[in-house]
Amino acid sequence: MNSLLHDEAQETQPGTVHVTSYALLLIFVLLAAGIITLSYLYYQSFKANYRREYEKQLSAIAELKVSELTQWRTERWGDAAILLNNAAFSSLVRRYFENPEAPEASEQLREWLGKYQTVFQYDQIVLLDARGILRMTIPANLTNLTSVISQRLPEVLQSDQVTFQDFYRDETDHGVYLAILIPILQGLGSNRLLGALVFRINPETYLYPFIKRWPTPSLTAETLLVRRDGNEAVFLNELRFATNTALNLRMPLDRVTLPGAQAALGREGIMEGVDYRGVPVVAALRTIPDSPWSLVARVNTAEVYVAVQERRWLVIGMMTVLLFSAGACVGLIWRQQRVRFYRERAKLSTELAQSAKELQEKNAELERFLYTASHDLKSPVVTVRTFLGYLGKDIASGDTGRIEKDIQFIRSATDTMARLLDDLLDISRVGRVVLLPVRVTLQGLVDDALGAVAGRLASQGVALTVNDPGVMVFGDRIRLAELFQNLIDNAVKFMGDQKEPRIEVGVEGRGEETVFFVRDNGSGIDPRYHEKVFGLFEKLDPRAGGTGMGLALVKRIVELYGGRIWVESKGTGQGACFYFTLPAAVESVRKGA
Amino acid sequence: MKGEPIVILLVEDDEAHAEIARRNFSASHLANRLIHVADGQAALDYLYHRNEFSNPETSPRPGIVLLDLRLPKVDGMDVLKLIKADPALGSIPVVILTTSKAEADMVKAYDNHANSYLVKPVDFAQFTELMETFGYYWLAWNQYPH
Repeated sequence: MNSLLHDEAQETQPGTVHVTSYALLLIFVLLAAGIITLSYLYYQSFKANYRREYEKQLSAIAELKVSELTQWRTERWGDAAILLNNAAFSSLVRRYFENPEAPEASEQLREWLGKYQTVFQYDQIVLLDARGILRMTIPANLTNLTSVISQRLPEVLQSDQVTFQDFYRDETDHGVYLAILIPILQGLGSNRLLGALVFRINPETYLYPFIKRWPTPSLTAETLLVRRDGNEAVFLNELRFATNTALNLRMPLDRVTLPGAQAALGREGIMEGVDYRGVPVVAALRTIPDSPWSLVARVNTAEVYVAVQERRWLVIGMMTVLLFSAGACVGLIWRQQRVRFYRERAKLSTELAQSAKELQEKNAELERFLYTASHDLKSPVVTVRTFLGYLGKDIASGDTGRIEKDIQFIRSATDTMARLLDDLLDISRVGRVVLLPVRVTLQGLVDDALGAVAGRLASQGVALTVNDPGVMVFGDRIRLAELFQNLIDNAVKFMGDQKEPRIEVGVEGRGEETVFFVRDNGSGIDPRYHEKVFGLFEKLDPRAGGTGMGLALVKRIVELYGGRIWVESKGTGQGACFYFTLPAAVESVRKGA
Repeated sequence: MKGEPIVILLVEDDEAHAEIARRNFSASHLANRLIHVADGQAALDYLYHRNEFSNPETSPRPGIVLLDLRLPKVDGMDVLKLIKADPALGSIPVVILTTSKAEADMVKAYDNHANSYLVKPVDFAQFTELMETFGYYWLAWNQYPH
């Protein structure tokens, strides 16, 4: 029963394994959630950082362009300012106007203006008189003035200020130009107007290439210049992804996603939007001080995010690897657990089958025991009842000889019954009543046994020797002594007609096992009965004393200590040797219990 | 009924029970000769004329065997099997006489061709009556081949 209770305690283990399966799944889910969250956070932070850096770069480029454009404009104002209110120049112009044929003034003027053209890269320079008539052109032979300029001329002539003509289209050559208009005054303190100078600037020479230039290699980045014209934004330069746009491309200002429109409205800063092509872009917007211009430095959003996207794939890759590793780790642990679980279950079912088998054997043994006990107890009852019947008859008939015999049979039967009951009680105690185990030597056990059988040994002149008297066992001393007592008793009983009866008690080491033995040189046991002798109430000799319980009792005690018992005898008249093992009693000693 | 006594082989380890049988058969007025052996091995030795039973004159072939089941050395059931398996002995009626009322024993005995199965009654009168009836049936009425 003990082993059964032990098995029940183990039953809980498959449950725990089941629980660990869920725990492992939970761990994996948590790990996965952690990995995904960390990856996502890292990616987001990288994206934000990268974006910030990129915006800074974009702003810096826009800033640089703005400052250079401002510088350029200031220089143009400067060029004009030198000629405005310049007494020497005024007098030279006056002299030339007064006498255009005079070579000195004419040449001097041409040289001066020529220098402007070559040094400051003006496309054309035109000198007009106060009525707006062309008096000198560089290069020479220009015949008429574009209407854009002629229309502004009266305003210029009246203002005595330098006027900047923003991008305009020349109707003769359809080119885009800018112009600086400078009134030429009579002299210091006098407001009388002599005429005006028109410096035409071709933006293709410097402005457009400069605007187009991007300081870093980029596939989509560009700078563009816009200006507000009514409800429209006018694109002032040639664009990277469209042709013939300067002054031709116009977009309504209410397109809030268009960086050009937003810039034309005077907004500054970073914005994300959709450009003139309908492509998403990131743009830095700036206004150019003292000008109608606004600058847009923009790049395709896709280009900005190329690096981010690369990083995204990297992060996804890393995340996958991490997830896979975590899964593999958890899976491996899970597998180990399962293997252990199945191994335990297999072990458990083997143990269960084992204990079921043991139980079956015990049950069969119990059945056999009950059968034998009832049969053997019934026999003397039959005897007593029958001979009581005879006794009655014999008393009636006065047969004294028979009366004597009848009583003898009755007495003998009741004696047998009493002994049977005693022995039954005794055998039922084995394993049920257990004394506190103690350490005791083989000699000690034999001495205890001799207490009960010494008389019989002496009367039959049997010599008893103990080999290895110091061998130590650990167990119920009374029960173990009983074991030796029954074996010695059995040996004495079946000494036969041996002249020098001897009994030898000892220990043999057989491999790992310690095997005890009780050997005699008596009548021996026919090999046919080597199994039967250990049966309950089995007597080989019906005339021998006792109930046939002794060896059954011995077997039970041996089995109680997890051992086995067998007899070796060559046959009748050749002595017998009972071997047995007591693993539980020997193991405990070995373990130092 | 023949004048020649029928030899009964009683296989019984309990001396008291053997005495009961002896008294009953001697009390009956039927010609018989009771031979008692105390264990299964002795019964087989007798039947096969071995050891002390080697002389067929003193150990004649029994007309009937009265067999207890629980016996020392060789079990009664094994003795039954051996008798019935041997063509020379198989025709001898074997009557089981035991204290066991166990169903399993009865089934096994009949399976092994026991000719009859009797349970020793605990009551004196019944036991005596059983032995008397047994005597009349097997010794007086039953016919045996020669």
